[in-house]
Amino acid sequence: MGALEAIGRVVVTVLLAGGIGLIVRTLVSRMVGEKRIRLADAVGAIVGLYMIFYLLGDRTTRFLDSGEAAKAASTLWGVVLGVSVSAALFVGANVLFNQASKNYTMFKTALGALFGFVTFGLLDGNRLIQWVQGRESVADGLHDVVNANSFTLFLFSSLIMAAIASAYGFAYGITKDEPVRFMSIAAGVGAGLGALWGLFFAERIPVDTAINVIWTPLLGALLGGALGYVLSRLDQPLRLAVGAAGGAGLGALIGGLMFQAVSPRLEVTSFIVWTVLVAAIGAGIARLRGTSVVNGALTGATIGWVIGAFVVTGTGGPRMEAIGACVVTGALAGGRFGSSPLPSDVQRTDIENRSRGPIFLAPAAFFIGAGLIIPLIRTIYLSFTESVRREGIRGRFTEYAGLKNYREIFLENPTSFDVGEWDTMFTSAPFQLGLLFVVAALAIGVSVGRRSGNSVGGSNWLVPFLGILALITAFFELRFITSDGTESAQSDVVEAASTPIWRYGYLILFALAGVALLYAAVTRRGAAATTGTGHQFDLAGGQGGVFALGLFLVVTGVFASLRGTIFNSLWWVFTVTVLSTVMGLAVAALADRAKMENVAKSIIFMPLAISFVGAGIIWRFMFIARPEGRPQTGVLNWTWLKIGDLANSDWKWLGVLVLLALVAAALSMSWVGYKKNASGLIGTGIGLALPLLWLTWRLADGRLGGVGERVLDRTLFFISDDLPYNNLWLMVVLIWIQTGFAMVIFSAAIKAVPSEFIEAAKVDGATDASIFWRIIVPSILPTIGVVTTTLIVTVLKVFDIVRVMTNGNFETQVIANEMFVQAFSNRNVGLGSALAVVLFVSVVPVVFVNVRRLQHEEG
Amino acid sequence: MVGLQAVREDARRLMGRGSGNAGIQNKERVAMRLSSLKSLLALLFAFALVAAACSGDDTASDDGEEETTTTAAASDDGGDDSADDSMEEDDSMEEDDGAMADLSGTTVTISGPENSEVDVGAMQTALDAFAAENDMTILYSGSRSFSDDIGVQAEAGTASDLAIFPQPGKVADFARDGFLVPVPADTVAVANSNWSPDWTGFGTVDGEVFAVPSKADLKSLVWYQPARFEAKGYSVPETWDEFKTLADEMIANGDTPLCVGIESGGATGWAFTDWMEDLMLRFHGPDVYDQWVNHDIPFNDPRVVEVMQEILDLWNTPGMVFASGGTIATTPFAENAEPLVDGTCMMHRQANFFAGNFPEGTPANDGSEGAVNAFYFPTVDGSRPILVAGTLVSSFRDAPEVWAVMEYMTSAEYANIRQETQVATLGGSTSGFLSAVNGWDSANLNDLEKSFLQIFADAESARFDASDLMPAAVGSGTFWTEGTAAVNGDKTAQEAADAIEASWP
Repeated sequence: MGALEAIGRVVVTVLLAGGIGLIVRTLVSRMVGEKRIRLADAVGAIVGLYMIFYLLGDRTTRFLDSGEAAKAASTLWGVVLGVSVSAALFVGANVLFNQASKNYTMFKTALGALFGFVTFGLLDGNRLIQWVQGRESVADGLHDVVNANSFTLFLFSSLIMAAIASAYGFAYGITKDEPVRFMSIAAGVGAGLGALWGLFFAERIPVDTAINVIWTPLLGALLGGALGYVLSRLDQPLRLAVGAAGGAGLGALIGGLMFQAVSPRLEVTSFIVWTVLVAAIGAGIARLRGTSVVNGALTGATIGWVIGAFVVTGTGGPRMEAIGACVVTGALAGGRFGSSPLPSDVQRTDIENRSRGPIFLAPAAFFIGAGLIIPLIRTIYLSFTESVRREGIRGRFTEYAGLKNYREIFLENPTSFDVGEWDTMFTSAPFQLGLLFVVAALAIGVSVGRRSGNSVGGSNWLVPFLGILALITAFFELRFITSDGTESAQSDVVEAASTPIWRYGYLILFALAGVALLYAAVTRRGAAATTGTGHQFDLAGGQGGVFALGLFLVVTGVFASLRGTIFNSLWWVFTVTVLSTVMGLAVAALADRAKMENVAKSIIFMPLAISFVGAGIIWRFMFIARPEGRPQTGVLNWTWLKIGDLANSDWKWLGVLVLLALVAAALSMSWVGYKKNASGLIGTGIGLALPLLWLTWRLADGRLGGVGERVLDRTLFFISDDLPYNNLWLMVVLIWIQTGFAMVIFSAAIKAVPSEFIEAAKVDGATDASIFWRIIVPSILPTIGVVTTTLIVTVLKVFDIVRVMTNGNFETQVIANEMFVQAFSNRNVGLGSALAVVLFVSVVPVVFVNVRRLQHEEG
Repeated sequence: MVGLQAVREDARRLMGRGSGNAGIQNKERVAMRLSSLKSLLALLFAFALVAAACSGDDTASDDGEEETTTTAAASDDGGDDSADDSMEEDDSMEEDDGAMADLSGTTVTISGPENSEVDVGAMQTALDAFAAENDMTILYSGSRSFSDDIGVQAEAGTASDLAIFPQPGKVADFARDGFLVPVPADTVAVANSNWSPDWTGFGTVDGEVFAVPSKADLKSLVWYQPARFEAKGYSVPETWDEFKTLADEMIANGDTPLCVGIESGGATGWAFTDWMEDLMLRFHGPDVYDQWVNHDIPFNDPRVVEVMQEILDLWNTPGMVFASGGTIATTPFAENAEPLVDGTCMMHRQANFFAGNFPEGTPANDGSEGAVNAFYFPTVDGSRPILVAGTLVSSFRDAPEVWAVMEYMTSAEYANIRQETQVATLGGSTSGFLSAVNGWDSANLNDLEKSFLQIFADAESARFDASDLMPAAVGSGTFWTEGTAAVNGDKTAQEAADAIEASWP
């Protein structure tokens, strides 16, 4: 570019930026009530804006032209626009209600205009009405002018923005008695912003779309404003007549513009009954409140009419019915507005005063209404409907279907709710193993509790503990032998041979469990009678962990026997919530005040930064299996096969040595625990040693990992095989993510436990375990509640992971994914909505409990 | 910043600084603009100055004299080749004088299921050619879960202008729900002159045309390597029994006969439905097939279950199937190309578009080592039915540019550019693209593709892919998911068929 042009560009940019900067500065200083404009601020604004201009203008234009930058820029603009609009709305609402006492006509006109703008905008935006005639031609005409080139766009946006801003400036100026001045300032700012918009971004927005969007609301604003103006000028009885007539006129217009597909089919009984009924209710309420019964009845009649004519009826009626329905609505509503007399000065001041609170709350109410309540009501409504087609009419029509969708979910469709195989739970490994754990823990708990003290010593409880753990190990091995056999054909023999013994063993164990429970019950009664301590079961030590693990396994076994979408979701909730909470708590407690605490916590926290979809894809890669003989590309199967290789090579003895060393370490831990009278340490040591011993034995025997010719001669198909336990492999992904979340919260809570408590306990000679169980856990109980409930809600809504990893195939469907499939893939919106309601209803109690506890804490 | 350029250009000319060829060519246009904007002239000057000062300078030449109006879609070469750009401008000006409406500056978005790099690249190339000609922008985006996505987008009102449906059933659903815009008669006429009118029949819903064809697929194909067959002494089977015998022979020789994979994201299971359809057509004939599609016979009719069982039995034969994902249900069908080429498996039944998945440069049916070929999926009784499919283009928006693009997508020109580009991208191997358009340039076709056309010609009857015709809840719903469950061994054929029947809306 030539030097002259460059200089010219700089000069013009500085001038423009300086101008805008000064105007902004002026406006700001006016708003904060300063008398003088400080030069330094103006210069600062000029320099800052020039930098932006320079960067945007010279350096980044090409970058801006690429799609990403345009997206970023429009996001930025969206944020700026959103913030400005919110601020303008807030200030504007206050300004508007200021007028209630000062200038009632202005107030009513503005209110009417606003009402018309919003109503028409909403109707248009929801495609309920269309601008039948003229819309095309007007839009086309403007389109021709505006799309002639981007130069006009630039102009157009300036003018539009200037117009909007000057209107706002005018309104604001009225409050300061300087309307013209404010209008001109605002027009300048608006023109500047519009120019900027036009320069850089407006060309990306299809102008005809923008015009179409703004056209109908503007019409509404015009009509509403006019009606408001007229109403504020008239007194009774003309006021009532004009109100009703004006409302009817607006209604006729709306009815005329209404889309055929949504226009109501009037049913005489329906609208009469509803109108009369709700009018009576309205009148009754008015009577009770001591206000005008007529007004109450009118309000009620309006609402009743809307329900009777629009809500409960079918759609697709003829145009005359739409016009009729809208005219009556408009007349009733307009009559309601017109029926009250012109307010006195006192009443007007009252309106102004009462408006303050709602103005503050309005944004929150809007977001809750728009984002939560309206969709909820609509979803609930849709869940009672089904989509039907009508002969000869294009479009989908919703018809009331009663409980059909819910019947389908809970009764008719076996894929969502199937208890047909409940009896398989008794033969499932987790159930049996869990039962054993529970029995063991109870037995220990009883023997500990019987001595009515907390410290543990002597060997009177150690014998049953060891005995039962040994039994468990034996059972573990037995189960693995049989489950190895179920997969490959050649070991059917093994299964057949082992089944009777296994059943026999199971019966013995089951009997043992019964005896132990009976014993516990008897002891409990005896102990309570004789010692009076009430401390019959002591599950606070290591046996508490065993007990919980047992329960967990039992529940897993139960879920494994129940099939279907809803049970899958519940299973997710149970497993992920429990494991994430427990693991998060464990990590938080163990890492607390340890070396490298922050590093460890950061690593565990990291998955939380990954999206569910991303995590699903990552884990899919981890789970991937390749046919035998081909390189395994999934980390887990690669490891599995490598372990198998190791188990069949001479190196396995090294592995055995390592494992034996670990076993020795675990046993020495138990020994230390025994010396210290710490039951937790003993239990943990033995609990670790036994599985390690089992692994050692398998390794020495060459039966560990994906092994060539032996029983486990296969890769693992985590997510598509071994139904229904494949669900657990999907849950791993969410646990991986959510453990970090739980850990962070628990970590903060643990650090908040007063150190005096812990020090006092140490002085009293408490072990680390009892400090954890008896001081830390009770102190952070509320936090555990929060984490658990948050997790339950998160897990109930799980969608992405299932969608990405299995898409609900292989019996891994969950409610949220089924909802999506039904609503959008199969386009069965009614059933999809019903599933959404089921999901919502299951979340509500959890949220309720959470809120109640919060209130309780505050109280 | 195309628009800015135009602004600057206008400003220059209005201020008397503009000169050169571009200015002369555009004089007429500028004059037109002037007349429409006469009243705004004064303001125009002022803002033009500002615009000139603030705008970017991405394609300005050094002396600031020669500049042309180009579009983002049309110009990849910046300002250096201003002469070329002027030529282009010239061409489009000439076209503008013709019958076609002025499409300049418009944008048309298209979405569809084709999502491989090869397909998307070729489609975008073919579309860009049209876009450049008409000074417009056309954007294609493909998604593996298109059939789910489009439903969400239609409900939300954010669907693309054109959607490429692989399923006529889905077109009917969307049309009856009032989402699609009927194709205007002019466009239908263009489509019917480009393709056999039968094809617009697939896009006709209740007597009104909602979709036009842009691509045809031949599904009754089994891919293999002739050289490997020859070396092992296998011969191409003519009947279903021969096919099974051959497979057993291969197993006996230690070869794996089939590669099968049915994983496809949200559409997992469709490859299984293709097998079902091909065998339904062969076992029970076109009439029963039609009854099955129209739900005149229930889905759990013994004949349907029999066919499903036949497939499951075949696939579950030990040693029969190689699946690179470990199991059939977890193997994407596209992943079967490599094992077929490296001889891990001998045969793979898949449509012609499978060619796009072969490793780059894989020769097609030229007799060379490693070349791939496809034979007709064997018949049962000697009749020669074929299973076909195709993609249909539907519109969500009524605008001249949308119909212009739709017409173009049915044209031989589109097919030819797509074919050329796909062949070029794949390094000369089979494109995977097939079209039944009139005027399809046979110079672009290799022997294999010509043989496909021959199979088309030899067919005694042709039926459209059944799952694509069935209602969405079945065709892209339970038929896929229950089929997958059956393949994975979670359900029996009878259970799966019962579940599909129960879900028929």
